[in-house]
Amino acid sequence: MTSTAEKTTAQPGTLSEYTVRTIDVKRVYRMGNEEIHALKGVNISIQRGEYISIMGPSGSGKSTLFNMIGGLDKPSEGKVYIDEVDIAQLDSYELAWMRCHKIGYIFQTFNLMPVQTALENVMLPMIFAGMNTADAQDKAAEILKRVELGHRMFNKPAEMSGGQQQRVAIARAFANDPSIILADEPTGNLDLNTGKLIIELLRDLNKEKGVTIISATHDHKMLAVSDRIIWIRDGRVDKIQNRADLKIETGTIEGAEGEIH
Amino acid sequence: MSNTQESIKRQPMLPLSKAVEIAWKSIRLRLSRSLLVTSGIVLALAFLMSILTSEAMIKGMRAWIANPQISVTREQQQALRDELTTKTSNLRDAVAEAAKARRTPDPKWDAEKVFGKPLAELPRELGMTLPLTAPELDRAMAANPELVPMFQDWLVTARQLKAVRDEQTAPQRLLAMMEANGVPSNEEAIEQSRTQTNWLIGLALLVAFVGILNAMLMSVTERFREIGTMKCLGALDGFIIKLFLIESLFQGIVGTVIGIIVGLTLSMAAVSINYGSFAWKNMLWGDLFKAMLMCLTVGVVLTVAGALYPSWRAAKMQPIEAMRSDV
Repeated sequence: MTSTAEKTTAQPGTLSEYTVRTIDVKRVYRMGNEEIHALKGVNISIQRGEYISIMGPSGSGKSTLFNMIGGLDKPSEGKVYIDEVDIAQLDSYELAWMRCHKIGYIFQTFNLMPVQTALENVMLPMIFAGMNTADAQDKAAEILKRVELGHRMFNKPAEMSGGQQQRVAIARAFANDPSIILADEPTGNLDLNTGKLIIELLRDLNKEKGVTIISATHDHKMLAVSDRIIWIRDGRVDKIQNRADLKIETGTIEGAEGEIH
Repeated sequence: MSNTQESIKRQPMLPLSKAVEIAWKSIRLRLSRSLLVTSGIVLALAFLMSILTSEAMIKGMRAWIANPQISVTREQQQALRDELTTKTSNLRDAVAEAAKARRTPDPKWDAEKVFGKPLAELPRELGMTLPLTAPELDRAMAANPELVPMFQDWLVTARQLKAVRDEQTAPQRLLAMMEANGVPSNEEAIEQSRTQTNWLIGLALLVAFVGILNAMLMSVTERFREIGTMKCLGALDGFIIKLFLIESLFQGIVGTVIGIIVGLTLSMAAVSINYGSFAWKNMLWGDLFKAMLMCLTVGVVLTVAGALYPSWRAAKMQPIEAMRSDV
């Protein structure tokens, strides 16, 4: 596996400080003859175990950056490192492996498999990873119990409430013990209280498992628990707020709700 | 610790059984959509099978007309005819003799009771004539009971002769039936109708193919988010292709089998109504079996071919699609 060794800049076995690093990332889309510069050089470093929110109006390049970090898109220029691996170097099999093992995805619309039970949904990433059914079953059951859905294991998504579905989705995201959880508006389709419970659950899991959580959100409850907020505007990092600054500015954020939406 | 640094590996291919399992569940949950796809296959294959079935049955009957297996020889028939002639004249003489004797008729005599039918109908039904009128015969038998077994004996021979004649004229009768049903009998007409049939079959298959393609494309579009999610969770392109191909294969096999049964039944019923026992006696079972195998192959190949492009589309989809909430 010499090729893999080249792709890994950090020493194997050591923990790098950063789970995600982007170096001067640019992304250009072509639409007919027009070139759209979605990202114009983004440099961010996200530390292991951080709880990050990415903010920005629509069209700011926020989604593009988010997809880039999730290994769903490749940069036109610059580098994206996930766990110190340059994702541009990966072929489709390696990308699939990385999505399966390194990243857990949580979607606004939950995106559970409608034909499968909660347990089977959580088992799916483990099955993709090549785990045998019995082990996957045990592990999935354990994670579902952790998100307090031990009693709904054999229910299909359609038989569950939105909050329950999102908890199944969270359990699924944690199935292969990823280093990063990518959450795209995880509370966007939930009511206030349910959203709050989901945020708390994510925060708890973040502390418990030391996993990095990166979310794109407009939900100020989510912002309030974030370690850092990365503001994207016009394809660039506008500002990065730390939790310390945030506490002082909480009022401002809540006051600026209209602007955020 | 979950965040242990490890080098990137290649995602393993999943066993086929997993794809089969997921595809099967998906069909069961989306039963109405599956039925839509399946019904298209059923229709096309029922059409194909019915054409092939009636073709095989008519081929069998044609072969029989060309080479009928008749068990009775001309000599045997002639012998039977001579025997009947002798019996006829004997009967006529006996009746004439009896008339001279002028015996009193038995008041309880009832020919219909003895023979099960009015006397006049018996020879006519066999296509034979007696040189005696029915009332003459009736009167003679009423007065002379020894004439009854004699007439019965005549009937037996007449029936035998009729059966032999029927057997020998059967091919001509079948030919007339086929002509009445518009089945071509000469080589040129047969060739022409075969060309027409082939066109029809081709069109039916094309329609089924487009229907399957359309239904599978819809099925893929409908599930964009689901496919994207699976790719986010680590599914390989090959797995997605397998999933859709297996799904269509299931539908193809079920639809084809139903189509074959429907086509075979309908066609056999129609041919039997038109030709009765001729159709069954001359059934080419081997040809029918071949037609069934052919339909099965065509049905399955058609479905899988129709699903190839949609499956490929699904597999090439970017996982980002899963992130879009407005799909």
